[in-house]
Amino acid sequence: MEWLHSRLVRPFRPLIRERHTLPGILSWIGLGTLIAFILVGIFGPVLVSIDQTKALAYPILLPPSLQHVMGTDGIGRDVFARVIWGTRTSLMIMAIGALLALVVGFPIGLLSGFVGGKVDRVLVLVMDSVYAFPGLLLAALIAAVIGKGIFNIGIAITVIYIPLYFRVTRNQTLSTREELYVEAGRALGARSWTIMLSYIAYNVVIVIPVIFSLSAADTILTAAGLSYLGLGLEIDIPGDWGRDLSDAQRFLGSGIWWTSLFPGLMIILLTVGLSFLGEGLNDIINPLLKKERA
Amino acid sequence: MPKSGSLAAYALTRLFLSLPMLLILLTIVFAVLRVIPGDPIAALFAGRAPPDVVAQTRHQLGLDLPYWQQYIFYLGQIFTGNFGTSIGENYHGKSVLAIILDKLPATVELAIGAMIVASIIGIAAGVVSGTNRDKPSDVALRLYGTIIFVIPVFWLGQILQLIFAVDLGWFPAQLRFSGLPFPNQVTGLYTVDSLLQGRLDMFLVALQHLVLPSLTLGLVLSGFFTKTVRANLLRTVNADYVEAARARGIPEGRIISRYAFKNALIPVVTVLGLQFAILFAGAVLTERTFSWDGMGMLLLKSIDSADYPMIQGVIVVYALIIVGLSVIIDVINGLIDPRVRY
Amino acid sequence: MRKGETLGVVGETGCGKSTLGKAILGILPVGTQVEGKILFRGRDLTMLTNQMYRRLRGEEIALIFQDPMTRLNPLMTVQDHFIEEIQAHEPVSSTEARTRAREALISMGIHEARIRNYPHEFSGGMRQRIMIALALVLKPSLLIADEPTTSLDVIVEAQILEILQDLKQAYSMSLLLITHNLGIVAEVCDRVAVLYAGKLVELGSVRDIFHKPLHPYTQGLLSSIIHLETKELHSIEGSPPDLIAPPSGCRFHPRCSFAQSICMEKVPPLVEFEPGHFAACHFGDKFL
Repeated sequence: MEWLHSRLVRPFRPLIRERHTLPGILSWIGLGTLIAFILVGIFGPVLVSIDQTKALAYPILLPPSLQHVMGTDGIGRDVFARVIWGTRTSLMIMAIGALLALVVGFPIGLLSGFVGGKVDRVLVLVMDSVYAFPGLLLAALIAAVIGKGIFNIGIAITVIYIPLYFRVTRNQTLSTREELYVEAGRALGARSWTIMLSYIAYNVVIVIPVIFSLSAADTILTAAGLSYLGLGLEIDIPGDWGRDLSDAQRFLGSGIWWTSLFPGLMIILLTVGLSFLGEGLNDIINPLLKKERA
Repeated sequence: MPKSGSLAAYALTRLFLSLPMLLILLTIVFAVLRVIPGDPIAALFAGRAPPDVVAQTRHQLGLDLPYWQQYIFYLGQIFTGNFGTSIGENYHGKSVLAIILDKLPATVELAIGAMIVASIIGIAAGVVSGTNRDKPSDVALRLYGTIIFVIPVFWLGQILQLIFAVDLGWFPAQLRFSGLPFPNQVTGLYTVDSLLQGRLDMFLVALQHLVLPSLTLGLVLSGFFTKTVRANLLRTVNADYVEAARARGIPEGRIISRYAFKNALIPVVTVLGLQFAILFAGAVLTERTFSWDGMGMLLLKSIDSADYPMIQGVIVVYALIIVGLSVIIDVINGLIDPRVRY
Repeated sequence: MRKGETLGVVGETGCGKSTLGKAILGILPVGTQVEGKILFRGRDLTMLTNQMYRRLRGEEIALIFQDPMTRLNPLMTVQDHFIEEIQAHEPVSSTEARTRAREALISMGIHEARIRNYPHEFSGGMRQRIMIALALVLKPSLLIADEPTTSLDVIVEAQILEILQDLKQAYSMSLLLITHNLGIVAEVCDRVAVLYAGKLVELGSVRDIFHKPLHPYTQGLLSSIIHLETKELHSIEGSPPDLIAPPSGCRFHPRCSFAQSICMEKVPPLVEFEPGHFAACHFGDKFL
């Protein structure tokens, strides 16, 4: 219980203390937005019938009205219903991507930081190279090779997260190792290794919300981008913001704005919320980490 | 040691140091296209071709050979500049490299246009923001930087199309050129080629087509510029050498430009190097939005027509460009900052 | 300050010595409030327009900082620093400015060939000499040196001090030497001003200050110097006060062993206890 408290509640304390500063305010706006989207993702599809998201459910290209607050699209789907269902899709991809990246990036980072030397240098070089390459292109390549689908896109998108998780875990491991070496007089017993692992895990756990929020916006954008390029999800997925924008493209010339505007605004609300959260947390947590180390 | 000599030596060293990164990227591309579980050829055809065609294609491309043979063949292809021939319906039997070189200038033109837009907006906003710390203009521009950076570039392109092409009719929404015979192909950049030909009318048409795509991509990139310029200016306007310059009675404008701004620029240039990843990813999306016939469109068409050699070629060229640009950025840094070259 | 003299300003870390130098030049951070007047050749500097103040910096009053390593623009050659400064004040050609830059550097013992080098190619002592050359190239009538030797080693320190003294005579210039090192003061200065918590507490000739210190703080400072024959090292108890909320009355009273109730209530005025020897202590006459 004590353990749970110190690890799960303590990280939130700075957020409460800093609630009147600019980073604090941004974090809270971001957190609120994320929670709102999660609620929409869970309950929206319960309230909005899936039938409205299917082709020819309504007359095509109706402008926004009381019946269709965001209008209908080029094949007669209700834009509002699509947008609501799309929330669930985006959040699922985001969660899959983040989780997979953690599962892959954390152990590799741990290994790199522990072993050090040549292994570390090579792994850092590989991760930096991946990071320097356009994430969307790499994800597109992977998506094209492994095929469409929510889970597959989640996998393709981990390439954006993995270098970040790797880097943070590795740096934490490295600095923790140095500190403990000094304390333990460079003689580490089995017990010390366990302590060290929990130390590192704790330090990494604090940073996870930051990396998650900082890269989550990128993930949403990349997932939408893949769908926009026609490399994302199967056609029968009830909501897919990127695909909706891709479909909207054909009608722009006729001045049909609602099929483009609303899915785009949803993406922006979510990504802006996530980056507020990420930057806010970063501003709050980074100085704390520095202080802790000093 | 002569200055130019040491700069050249520095450039060579950087070029040499970039080889591992290039090799890693090439290996990743190789692995994604071959080692990933499942059959890439089958996935690319996505059930549109009978199994014997899939098997035949695999054999044709040598994908049934052991990996190490494929890998050597693959690296050999890249270093000899022979990327094979296309198997897609659009360019069947044509040299992959020739097609890529034909599409490359369009992407380069878009990238340069976007960079110009991003630098002008980003630097101006960053300087205003950084020299008015915590004033309303600073807060507003910081929000701008955060928000514009996470706007989907294809959505922004659509909205700009709606406003400036459909509604106002100021700029065309699609393609790189229209209405006049194409400029003679010299560099492949239509804006440059038309000027080389001395045709101002052609230049204006090319420029008109370039405005919206560049603005779209440039605006998104400007967010990061704004933030980086601001952060680094804040660091340098309080630097010791700035205070010392003030104590010597150097005019304030010159202090900002030659001391604060120029020193702030160094990390900005480095960060700019990282932005090429975002630039090229954004360019693929922008090309699709504006039917801009560049490398991104080529990649999409190749994926669509299961043109395996072309897909590999395009991605490899992107990797070469990214690595090459990172070297160039370092050399530029060496030019600005005398401390890095030795 | 008198023409051609060297005034030492001493005090503990954090008492406002460096701020004094910057305040005279009007380069304190934006938003800092300056109270009182800064008189220079009969003009109140706080009344100058920005433009006039800018011209005055470097041309009439120059400042040398304590940390030469970070005071030069890393992206400009040494020569460019000189040309820029000369042209910011005088309408001369680049060629002429370059000639003067070369002369200034040579006079500081820096080889002509290195004029096109960048700051990072010089050692700390050389950079401080460059800073001095930069400060003197316009022949100012007042040079403020803010702990010019603190960050340098002892041998270089001696060289720099010698240079400063030679130059003062050569240019008939006044020198305001800000330091915490009383040894340097005794060696170089004509008069000494002692600062405590941002206020002047004692002013007099070197002889007066070292032999007849009137302010308990000055006495404390002097007894904290290490002499060869020192057996017991004294230090002043406590630390300099918080300048945002300074103590009432005499700012030194919380640390003063002679403090009476008046010290807590009244700010002691600066009184001339003997010709040319001022102190701000209610009991200054007791120590005469």
